[in-house]
Order: sequence, then C-alpha cells, then structure tokens
Amino acid sequence: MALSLEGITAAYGRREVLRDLDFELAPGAFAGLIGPNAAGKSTLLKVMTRVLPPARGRVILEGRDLGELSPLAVARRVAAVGQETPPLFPLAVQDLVLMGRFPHLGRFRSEGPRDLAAVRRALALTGTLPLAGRNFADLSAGERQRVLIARALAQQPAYLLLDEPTAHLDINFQVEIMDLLRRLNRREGLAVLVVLHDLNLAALYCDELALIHRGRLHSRGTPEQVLLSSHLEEVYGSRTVISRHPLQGVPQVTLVSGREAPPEERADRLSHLVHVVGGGGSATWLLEALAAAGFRLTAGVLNRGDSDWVVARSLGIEVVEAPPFSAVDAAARRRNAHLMREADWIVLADIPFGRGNLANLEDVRDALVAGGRGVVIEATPPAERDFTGGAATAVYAEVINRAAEVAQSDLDALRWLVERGALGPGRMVP
Amino acid sequence: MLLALATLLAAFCLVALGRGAVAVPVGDVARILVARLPLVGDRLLTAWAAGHEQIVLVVRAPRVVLAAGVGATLGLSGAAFQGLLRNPMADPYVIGVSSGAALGATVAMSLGGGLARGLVPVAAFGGALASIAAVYSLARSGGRVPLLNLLLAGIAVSSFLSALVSALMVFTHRDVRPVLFWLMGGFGGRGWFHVLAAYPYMLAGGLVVLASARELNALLLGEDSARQLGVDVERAKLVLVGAASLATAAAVSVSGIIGFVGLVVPHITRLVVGADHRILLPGSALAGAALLVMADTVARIALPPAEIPVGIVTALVGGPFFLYLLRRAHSRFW
Repeated sequence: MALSLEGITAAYGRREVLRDLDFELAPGAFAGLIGPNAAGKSTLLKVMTRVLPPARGRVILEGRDLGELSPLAVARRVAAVGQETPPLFPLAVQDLVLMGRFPHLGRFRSEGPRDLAAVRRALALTGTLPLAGRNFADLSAGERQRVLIARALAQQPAYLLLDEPTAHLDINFQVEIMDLLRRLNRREGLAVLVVLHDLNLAALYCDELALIHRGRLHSRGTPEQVLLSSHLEEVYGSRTVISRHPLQGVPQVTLVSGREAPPEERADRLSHLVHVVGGGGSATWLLEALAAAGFRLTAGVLNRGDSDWVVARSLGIEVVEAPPFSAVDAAARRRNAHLMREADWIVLADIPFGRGNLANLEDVRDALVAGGRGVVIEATPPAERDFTGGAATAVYAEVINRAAEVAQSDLDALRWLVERGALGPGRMVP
Repeated sequence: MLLALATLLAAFCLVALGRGAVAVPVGDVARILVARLPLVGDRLLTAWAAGHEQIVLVVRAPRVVLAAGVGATLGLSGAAFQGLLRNPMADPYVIGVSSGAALGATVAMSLGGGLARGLVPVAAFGGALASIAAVYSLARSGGRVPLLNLLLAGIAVSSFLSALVSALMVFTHRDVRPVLFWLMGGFGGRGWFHVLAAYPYMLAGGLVVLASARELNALLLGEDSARQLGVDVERAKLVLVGAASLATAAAVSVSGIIGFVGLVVPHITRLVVGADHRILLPGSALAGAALLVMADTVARIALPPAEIPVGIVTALVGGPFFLYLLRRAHSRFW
C-alpha cells in the first residue's frame, strides 16, 4: 500500500525527461527529491499525480494502476502543491482552500458542514485561520505557501507531494514550512514527498532522499547514504565537503568555491602532509574536513569498498588498499609505512581493531618509534574497540605514549592540526 | 449581492417596458404583467389605457426579454472564457463566434430578397457554429487542446473570416448600412419568434456553464493544479467552450455583434463580488442582463425617432463606468 513508480519513462513530445525510473513513497514516509535543475524532479511529481501520463511503466496507487483510476479518485488520496502560479483574479483565502474539497463533491452537491469542517481544520493545521478572509494575492510568500498547503490538506489526502515549497523564501519561512510538513507527517501520518533545492534542508528534515540525475534515479537511501561528496560531484559537478550538523548530526553540505585551487596546487601554502589511518567509516568526516582545510592527504591501509576508502578515492588522494574483508598483506604494509615516514602528521582515527587491521596499529607504533608525529583520536575507550583479545590494547598503549596529541573528537583533532599546519611549512621530505 | 443585482434587473425591465414613443406609467406596466399571471391575474382591475397592453406585451416585452437573455449570455460566457483561458482580455467572441456569425449573416443579406432576410439569424447561427468547430479542431494537438493554441487559432480564424466579410461588403455593391447595423448589434424589430428561437440554446449553454463553476475555480491556479484537484481538464475545456460558444452563437444570431458587454461585465462583477465563480458567474449573467436592458432602452429613446445601435450605447455608458471602478480599486486589481 504505497504510491510507487515502476519503470517509468516520461516525455514531453519526443524529449524524454525520465528514463526507466523506479521509486516508492511508503505510507507515512518523509522523503526528499533532490537533483540539479532539469533532472526531472517536477516531471516526477506530475507523473505521480496523473498530470502527465507516462510513456512507459506504471504508477501504482495502493495496488491500482493510476491510469485506471478516475482523476477524482486519485485526488482524494494524492494532493500536490505545485510551484506557485498566482491566481489571475483576486481570491479570498477561504475560497481557495475550499477548492480542495473538489474531489469530494458531486457536481450538483454544494459544500456541506463536513466540507467546511475539513477547510477549517486545514486552515488550523497550517496556522492560516486568521488569514481566511484575506485576499490571497495580498499575503506574504510564506503565508501563500501555507495557504496552498492548506488547500492540499482540505483534500484529506494520504500522500502530499510538494514542488520546492521553500523556493524564494527567507530562512525563517523555510524552517516554518518544513516544520509544518514534519508536523503533518509525524502527527497526521501524512506521507510527504518534497522536491528541494537546498540539500542541507533536505538532510535536516527528510528521512530518506532520492537523488535524480538526468531523468534516472542516481541513488536512494538515508541522507547519510545519499549525500556523499562523490555523489554530488558526479551529479552536480561541484566540489563539496560533507560535515555533520552540530545539533542534529545529519550530513550538511558545504560548497567549495570553484575559484579555489585544487588541494595539490595549494601545497605551498599549507604544505603539511597528513597520513590518515582509518577504516569502517571512522575517518570519513576527518578526510573531507582536512582536504577542505587544505592539507595534503594520504590514507591507508583501507579495504576496497569501505566507506573511508570511497571518500578517500573521491578526494583523489593516494590510498594504500587491501581487498575487501581481508587482512593487510606485506606489500601494503611496506607502502603504508613509507607514506607514514613521508607524512608530517600521522592521524589514527577512532577505529575498532580486529585481526585484519592489527598490522595497521603496529605500523603506526613503529612509525612513531622512528620519530613520526602522531595524533590519536580517542572518542571511544580503546578497550571497547579491541576485538583481538587484548593484543591491540597493548600496542595502542605504546602509540598513546608516543603521540604528540590525543584528541577527544574529530573536531578537536582538526583544530589541533589546523593550528600546527598553519604555523609554517611542514617537514620537507628529500 | 445577487439579490441586489436581480432587483436592479427587474427595475430596469419595468422602466424599459414603460419608456418609448408612447409612455406607459410604471404602475400600469406592473399591473399589465401581473394580470398575465395565473390565479392572481383574475382578481386585478384592468384599469390601464387601451393599447398600452398591446405596446407592452407585443412590442416591448419580447425586446426586453431578448436583451436580458443576450446580456446574461454575453456576461456569463465572457466570465467563463476569461476564467478558462486565464486571460483578462478574453470575451465571448475570442474563439471566432462573432466573425463566423458575421460571415453567415453577410452572406444571407448579400443574397438579398425577403427569404434571405428571414434567414439571417439561421445563417449567422450556422456560421458561428462552423467557426467554433474549426477553431477547436485547429487548436487540438496530441489529444489535448492547449489554451494558448485555442486563443491563437481563434484570432487567426477571426481575422480570416473578418476579411471575407469585408470583401463581401465591398464587392456586392449593395447598400452596406444594413450589414453595418447588424454588425454593431441591436434589438430593433425583434419579436417573440426570436425569443423562442434563441432562448433554448442560451438557457442550455448557460446552465452548463453555471454548473462548471467549481472547475473554473480550480483552473484559476493553472491547468496542472486543477488536474491535481481531480478536474478532468480536457473535458472541462470541451464542455465550457462548447456550452459558452453555443449560447453566444444563439445570442449573436438574434442580436448581432454587441461588443463590450462580454468583456467588461465580468470585470465589473469581479470588482464587486470577487473571483469565486460560484458567485461571479450568476453575478455576471445578472449584471450583463441589466446593462443590456438599460442600454437598449437608451438606444430606443435617446434620439427619437432614430435608434442607436445598442453596441455603441454599451461602450459609451460602460466604458467610463468601468474606468471609474478600476481607478477606485486599482490597488486590488490585477
């Protein structure tokens, strides 16, 4: 029981806008649709509301093909708020919201108490009750958007689709609209699908995201899974840094100015070379942040397919790699040790230790013994991360003894390194 | 508000029936009318001047009834076309009804003779329907009728037909004054026959338009938005264009081409009652009827014994009034 697309291809005339696209909006879900201009997001909404019949594929509404349902039957389950087109003539807010009752009324039945109650409730839910008698055209942009949402609510739908409801709004109105949508989703159980331009807003509010690229579904999942700088570079062609929202912890996208030189060309300005020992996603944020701060980076030893490996590859830095789910071999260890010797700083991320990566820890210790400068991130007590039966804890103790800095968090480590890195050129390597 | 408009219309009708070459007191007009009602009529004293009944019921009543019907049709159709096409410049003639009717009427008049003269309304009606059908099929593309296509096809067909009308007028070497008079519109010499011929179409078309008020409301925010409310937009277009044009064609065939009413009455009504079509449509019908009944009365009595084409009166009276309303409400409008 959902609103789903199966193999949808949609076209305006001969120009195909969506190609073989699958998507599902589950009841009660809060999903966001992101992607560059002309990717097909608005077209997707038109297909889902029966405005544009697909060229191929099917739209299924609760088990039934949308094409076989009457427009009224669809409008009783699915409501949409389009990009605003102002009405040509002056119209009172209450009359506009009353339009939402259209799918519930017979041609010759006039609006009854049930319809007026639905309108009142829609106005109350959106906080527009005090505006009921005003002229729609006289309202502020944020108020107009709330009124249009009220009209959709008067349809009493199970699925609400919105096309960029926060476009052209100031940040206070953006938050107001998105808070309203979340409230409707959590309290009223309304499934919400919202097209958003603002990736950070999407990450902040949506439980799941779908990234559309040239009419196809590029990726789907939680904001953490979709908002990767590699994805954004592929789809938007822009360089970004993904960090964490300081309060909510969701991913947030920071743009890197296009005029900024790529990291390798900035080597003379912040020439410090940092080697990161991570794995299992422990160093994702730190790798992105250090790259954004202008450090030269290497990383190792990472298993192919590991999320740290994905990020390191997307940053284009040198990575010592090992096959997935296997122990580090001798050649990789030699290369890793070499990179650590060359680095100004060796960063050991907050990783769990098992038999597979114990060698990494031992090599960090050896590098520090040989005079390397180490920064250890210890957000979790090492004993909780030791899955080697105590062997790792012993080696880790030696590493801590020789480390230049033990940081409580990624952010502390970053700050510490930026202070050192900015003080002057790093240790030059012959 | 609708009640006020209806009262205004009734008052104009009473005045219209009384005024003219022979003045009949308003009280007598009322009594003559009430006398025709069943039950109450028999108890009334027949105390009016001889001949007045004949003048009121046979000469003036059909004219007033026809003017009211035509005015209502033009106001209603104008409001429907403005809403449907989302265009404040639209009027009932926007998709070629008037030029089709003009061509039909001109052809009939060019043939000359009494028979052809009697055929003028029929020929005008036929020409109007043919031009609507042509415009609608020209505008269709890929199973849909984009509104912009409809507008453009209407303009193209209209100018083509107008050219034919002018050509006919120039090349038939006849007195063009009757044709010009017909083109400017009027109710001179119309009787109960014309009422009976035109009313069925005007009523049927008008009722269908009135019943589509909610679809027109939904279309105020655009076609996609209306579809998302469950409106079958293509069917609504066909029904509305068909009904409004049929009613307009019938009105034009008995009255000629009366301009201004269909364009401006909806705007005036909207300024007073707002854009909600559930009130705007009946309001425009009543206002159109009242305006045209009044204009026709002025046309009859202003310059006796001559009669001014009613289209000239509607524009002369309505234009300044409309401008006055616009200036008063300028901040709220558009």
